[in-house]
Amino acid sequence: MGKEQEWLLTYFQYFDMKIYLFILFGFLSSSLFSQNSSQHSLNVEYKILNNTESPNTMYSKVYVNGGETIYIADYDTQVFNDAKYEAKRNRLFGFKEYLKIDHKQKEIFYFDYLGQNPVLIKDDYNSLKWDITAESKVIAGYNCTKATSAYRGRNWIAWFSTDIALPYGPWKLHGLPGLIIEAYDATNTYLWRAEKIEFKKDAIFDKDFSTFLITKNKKPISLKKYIEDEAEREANVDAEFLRNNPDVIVGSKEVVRSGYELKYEWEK
Amino acid sequence: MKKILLSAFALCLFTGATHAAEIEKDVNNKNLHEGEKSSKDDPDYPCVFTITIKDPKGGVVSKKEITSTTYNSDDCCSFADYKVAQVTKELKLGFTATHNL
Repeated sequence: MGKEQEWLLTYFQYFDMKIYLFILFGFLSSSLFSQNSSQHSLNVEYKILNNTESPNTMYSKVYVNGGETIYIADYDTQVFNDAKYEAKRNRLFGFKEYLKIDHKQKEIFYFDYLGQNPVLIKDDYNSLKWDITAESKVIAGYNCTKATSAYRGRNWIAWFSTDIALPYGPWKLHGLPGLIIEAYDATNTYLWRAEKIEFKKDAIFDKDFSTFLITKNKKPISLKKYIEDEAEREANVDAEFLRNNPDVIVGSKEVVRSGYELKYEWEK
Repeated sequence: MKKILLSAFALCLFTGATHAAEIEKDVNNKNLHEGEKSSKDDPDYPCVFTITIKDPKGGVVSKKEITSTTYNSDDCCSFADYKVAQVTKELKLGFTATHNL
């Protein structure tokens, strides 16, 4: 028996080897767990650039906890680039977009409006097929890799970072091997860029998502049903406008679908 | 005799002048009446404008071309404001309507 082995034996005998190992194991596992759990709970603030006919900027947040994400786009932060338009527009205070994805149950819920009335919608879980490229760059201090995917009529480009190995991102964009730091569509109309990341669980997860807005429907309706209902409502509004305005001729009515989704799976 | 002739001539002049003034007044009244009738009952100023509806992100979702007649351009602007207000009431929350006048 060498001098070192003799010393170790004496040492363990003195402190009681079993207790020592138990304390050591406990310390290592608790530190590993806390790191893991903090990495699974985070809040990401994204700046949004809407390069639409009336360009504007605003902020949104993605709250992550375990396998759930809640996305909130806050229209109180919206500023239009045109100062004249910004000054005269009617601001709608407290208006927000709410969207929740349960990645374990593979469910998407969000709120939209039938006229002025909020409606809870259940959408199909979108497993995006990403094409991960070899391109990389540093965004906001994170090493990012470029990936592309097509979803409901738009081609999306996402820059994700495996430095934060969580498959989440803004809105319905997810499924990459790292957090999406920047995302935009191929026409450069919509863009999100992460500006702030906090590793903590937010109290937002303590509240039932379906109660974020007061809706008439207790059970969520499907997105397809919602689109049909809103189209019917708009057709009725147009017909009523014509009935109430016999002195008016409504010429060509140009209707285009705008927003993040342009075409749905059930449409030809 | 000379005085009588002069008096008769002066009377004729006065009567003629009065009659002419009455005719002119009638013509003016008639013109005014016809003018009022034209502007109140038969607006003929072509009032054409487009109502543009945008989503909360500022993207255009629809454009409606409206054609009507009003009395003048000011009335046309007021008419367009009124129609935009009418459309706005029925819009989806967060959407906006504007006209191009």
